[in-house]
Amino acid sequence: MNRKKFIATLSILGVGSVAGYYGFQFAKTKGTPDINFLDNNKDLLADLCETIIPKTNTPGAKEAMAHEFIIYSLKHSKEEALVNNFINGLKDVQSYSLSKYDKPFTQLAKIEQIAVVAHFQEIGKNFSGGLGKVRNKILGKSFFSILKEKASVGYCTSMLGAKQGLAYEYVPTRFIGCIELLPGQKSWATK
Amino acid sequence: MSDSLNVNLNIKAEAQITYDAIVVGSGITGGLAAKELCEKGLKTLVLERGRNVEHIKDYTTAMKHPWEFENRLEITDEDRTTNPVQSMSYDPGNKHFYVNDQDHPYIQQKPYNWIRGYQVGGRSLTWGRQVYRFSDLDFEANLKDGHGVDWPIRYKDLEPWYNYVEQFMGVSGCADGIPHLPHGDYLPVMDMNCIEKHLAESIKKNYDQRWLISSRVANLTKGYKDRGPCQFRNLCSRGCPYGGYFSSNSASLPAANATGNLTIRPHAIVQEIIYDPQTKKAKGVRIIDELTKETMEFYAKIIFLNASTIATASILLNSKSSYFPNGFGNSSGQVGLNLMDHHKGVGATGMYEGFKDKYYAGRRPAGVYIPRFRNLNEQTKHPDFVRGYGYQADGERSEWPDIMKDDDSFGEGYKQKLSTPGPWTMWMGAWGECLPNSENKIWLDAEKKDKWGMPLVNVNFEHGANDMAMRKDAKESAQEMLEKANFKNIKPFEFLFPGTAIHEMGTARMGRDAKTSVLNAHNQMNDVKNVFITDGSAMASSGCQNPSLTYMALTARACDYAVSELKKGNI
Repeated sequence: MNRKKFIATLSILGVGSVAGYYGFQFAKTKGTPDINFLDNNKDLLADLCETIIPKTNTPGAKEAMAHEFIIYSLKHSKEEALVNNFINGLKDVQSYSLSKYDKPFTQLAKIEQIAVVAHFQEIGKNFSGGLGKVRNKILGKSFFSILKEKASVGYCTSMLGAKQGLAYEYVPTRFIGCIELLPGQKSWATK
Repeated sequence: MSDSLNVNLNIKAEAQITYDAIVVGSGITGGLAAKELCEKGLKTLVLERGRNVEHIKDYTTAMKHPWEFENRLEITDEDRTTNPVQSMSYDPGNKHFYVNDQDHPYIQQKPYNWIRGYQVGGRSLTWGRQVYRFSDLDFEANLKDGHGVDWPIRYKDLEPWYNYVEQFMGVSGCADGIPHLPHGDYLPVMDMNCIEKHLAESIKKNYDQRWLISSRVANLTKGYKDRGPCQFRNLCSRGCPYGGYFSSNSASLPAANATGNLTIRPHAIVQEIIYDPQTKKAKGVRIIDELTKETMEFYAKIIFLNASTIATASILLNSKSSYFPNGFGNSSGQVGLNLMDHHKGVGATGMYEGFKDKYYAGRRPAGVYIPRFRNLNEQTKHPDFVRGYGYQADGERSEWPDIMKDDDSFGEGYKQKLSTPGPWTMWMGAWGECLPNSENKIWLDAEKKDKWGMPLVNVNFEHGANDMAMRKDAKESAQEMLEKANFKNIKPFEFLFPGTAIHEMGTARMGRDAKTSVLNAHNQMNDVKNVFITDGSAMASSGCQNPSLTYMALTARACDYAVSELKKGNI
């Protein structure tokens, strides 16, 4: 949605209702984060990371312990909205899985886990474009964006991710400006 | 650094209070001054306000893998809160070489990031290592357009000293033959990758008097004087256990120490320079011990001030007496004025669709450089501003940090994308000259003090209209060059955080007239002949080149002069 459409939407919906919706969502981003939820739900978090970066012929995010990085990172974050969005998102994933499949996320089949994460990706996308920017500013990043970004950093900077998922040279010893890229050659883990 | 340097720490300094020379500061110029003076036979005391950092041994993070850092290589919100200034520059790998903002406050009259490293070696541990000579385009600039005061030297005065310090440091680069960016005798140049070569060819084809060259950088592309070679890890700012780049710790201080003439006194905060009205010379300095807060005095025949631009001016301003009521050697009233710092953070990025079968190997601790191309002569005159800017640039393929932001998938397909080199991209950012302006200045606060009782520094700095006009042009020119080279998805960027170039200079300038400058053509104080200042504060103009090399050439030249004057009995 571009800026003009956003303004048009605002006028159709009426400023009041939009403000009301944001007001409700905004309230959820406030307050001291339920930080213990992270340590108490490591399996859930690990499975979510694995859904983002699954095991193939190389290790996935779960084996690479990407979730441990996420927990550390959020525990040391002072961005209340970000941490709350993430923890609320985890809780929403739990309740969504239970209501839709009658099972917790960690017990779902892979294909069901993918469907759940896709659902939360869609929710995160609901406000793309101009309105998305406003939403991000008021409510912070969506659960899915945080999960994807942090799982990716956690994986790509882990030992297994860097050495097996990517190509890691500890001490390169030389720089060659131009080499042939061979089929299947992985990208470098560090710049 | 050998063990014998440790022998010369503290203990000897406590026992001995009189030396031939005192050097204040152990960073890139202090370290070099110490080496030069020691090699000329002077018993030299280096006063460093921070802790000792021993080469190799104290590079505690140098060999760590990314996964060995708890928050990986990301700074935390706590860093942003407690160290709002320094954390703009550091990461978890080099954080320990930056000061803590809580311990070292200063007053920003306007936003200005004063980024510091208080330890033996100073910021020479974390510096960007790019070294470009000034030319007469720079040394004549003030005279020609009337901003600031005329430099008392020209390129020919400094050329042999550029050669000298480059030979000592070891610089990788190419004899590019650019008239206004003179080159030296370099170690083998680092490769460009295919996208950088492509842009270089396009610039050559489309423009006159415009070049894209490999960075000239103080990294060793082959073993040099028992140091290096560079291992292409691109982790320089953690300190290099291979001695792959030049720092005070890896090169200057060990050379100084090898003479047997060096004493380093860490934890020595210089409070003031002591003036002797009988001799009209500086007698020595008074320090505060950082740890015990005790004061003590050291004496010497000559003093080199190399505390870094703002700190050097602060020491002068704090050294008040009935002879110098406005600060030491400040009869001109110029001490603290004309603070300059390059403006940066403006340029463009672009993506290129070709070269999909090419990649690179190793992590080059450098990039490419587009030297200044504006206002070189009548032909290249720009209507909106004087002087110019150069671009530092870098070409690479998109890798996971870029891909994770640009892609909206997840799962196996996403993982595949993360592990596959993405399109080639080019980043170009300008570093621009900052005009001298007496309104940009530092001064000491009359009331507020730090925990050692030293007055806090006020910094008043703002980029002027000329700098801003230059930035507009730098943004447009970067886009134009990328367009002409068939880049797609070209995006301009502009953000301005004064100070983050970490090229502060100009607060005790050289000049031809003692009424309008602090230092003469030999970096000697006009008012006090046995005091020399050769850090960034000596600069009469900023150029747009990374300035450390010029400070170093000035340092070596001033040391030569100082010792010669000392031997003649003139000081």
